[in-house]
Amino acid sequence: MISCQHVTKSYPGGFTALNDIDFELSQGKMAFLTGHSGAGKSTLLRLIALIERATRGKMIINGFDLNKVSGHHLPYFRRSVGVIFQDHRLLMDRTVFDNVALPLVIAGFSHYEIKKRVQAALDKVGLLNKISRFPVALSGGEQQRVGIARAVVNKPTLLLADEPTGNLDPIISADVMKLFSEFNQVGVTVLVASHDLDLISTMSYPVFVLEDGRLCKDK
Amino acid sequence: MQRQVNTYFMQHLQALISSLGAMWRAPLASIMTLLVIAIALALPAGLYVFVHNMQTITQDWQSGAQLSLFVKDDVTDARAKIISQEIKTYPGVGDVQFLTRDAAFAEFKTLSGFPEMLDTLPDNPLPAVIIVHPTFTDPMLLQKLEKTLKAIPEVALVQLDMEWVQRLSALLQVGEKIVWILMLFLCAAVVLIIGNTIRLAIFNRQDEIAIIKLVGGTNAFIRRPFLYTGIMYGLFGSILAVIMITGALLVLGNPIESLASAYQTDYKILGLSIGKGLDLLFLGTLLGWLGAAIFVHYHLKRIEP
Repeated sequence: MISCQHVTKSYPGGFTALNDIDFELSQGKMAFLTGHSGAGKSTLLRLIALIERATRGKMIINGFDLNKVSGHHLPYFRRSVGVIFQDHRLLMDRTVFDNVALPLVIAGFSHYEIKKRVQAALDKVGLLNKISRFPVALSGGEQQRVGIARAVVNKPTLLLADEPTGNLDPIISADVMKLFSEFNQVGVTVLVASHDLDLISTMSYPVFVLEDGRLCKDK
Repeated sequence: MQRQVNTYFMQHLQALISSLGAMWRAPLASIMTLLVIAIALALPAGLYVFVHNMQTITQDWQSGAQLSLFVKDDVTDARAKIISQEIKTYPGVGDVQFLTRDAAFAEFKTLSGFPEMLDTLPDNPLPAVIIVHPTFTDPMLLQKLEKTLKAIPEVALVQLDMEWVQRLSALLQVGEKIVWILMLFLCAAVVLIIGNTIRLAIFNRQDEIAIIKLVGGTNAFIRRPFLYTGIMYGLFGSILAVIMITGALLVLGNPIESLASAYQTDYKILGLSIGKGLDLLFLGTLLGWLGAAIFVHYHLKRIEP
């Protein structure tokens, strides 16, 4: 669940990335966030994932009031949110298995449980046969799917994706988007930032448009 | 609860293994760091062993301390003998020997090496001597005894042949202080060496740390492998230091024994006792942990996803 009220993010030097954003996404819903480069899509996702903090405003994510989530609670909040980046941010010196297992290792799952869940997540994204490969041996689309598997392996209630198809060709992009809608169908809240309007228009989810740090409309 | 405890130990084990793995994968760098730490720890520890040995040797010397009382010429041997028996009852006095003037002259004749020349002397120039062996070695008490003995009217002079032993013992006390100061500086060096190693390790794994933070790794989870790395460096470094000292003592053992036998003493060099060796391992481990803890705390704060 995402709820933003009057959220503003400005940086030292006076640049305002987000200006008075009101935004709601109920539990179990899926939506797209779109807009030009620099419109504030990434910033909004970073605020929701608490990678950065809002300058002003109130944000309730997964029942956490982000203004009150401090150092000690931060890791536990982040475990309830899965984040996918355009550059997927995999550990290149670890196998696919180790990359996907990371959130589970951190959360202290048993070996047996880790193996079971990693296999299930990789099966879901169609990469079970590449489980012991290193990320460099995978294509861009496959690397992105490893990133998705890592984001969902811990069964988060909210999935955020920042330009997940930015580097992918249209067919693979459609596959990736389809994955997101499948996760949404099993109850995960999904917010995807993308400027791929053609792809977005093929799917029937609400679209929020950011323009110069303001939320203009939602259709 | 059981699961949490298991998880806790599992995560510690994982951190330990991953820290050992990281050291193993860069053997040259690890060995160089370990050697620097070992040398930094072996220096004060070795110096401690040296000072400890010197203290033991001089203690032997001090226990051989004696006071020579020269009796005034006009005192008869019989009177001097009575005095020597009185002195024997004094507190802190062990053995008392009395040498008459004649006995002293005879002893001097045999020791001097030119008895014929001494025979030509018209008179025995030597006084009677009372030799007092105290039961203690403490310089302060010895001086007090010296004063008491000086107060006996029949005694012309009391000679306490202790001054050079005192000076040596004072020198050794300075030596001991130097060991402690050196220890302090080199401990700081160990902390900095380990801290710097940890800093580099953190720098090399910046991306990984950012990602771990991103997927919900707690600070404790991120710190743990680095703390174990520091602990392992400290532990292995101090083990190496113990080996270095033991090796040096093995090399020095024979020459020192032959040196001692040349001085007609039977001195066995004192090594690092098991207790002191364990102290050194504990100290090394503690310093490793400390160095890692300080630097990890400082550098991890700056890495954010």
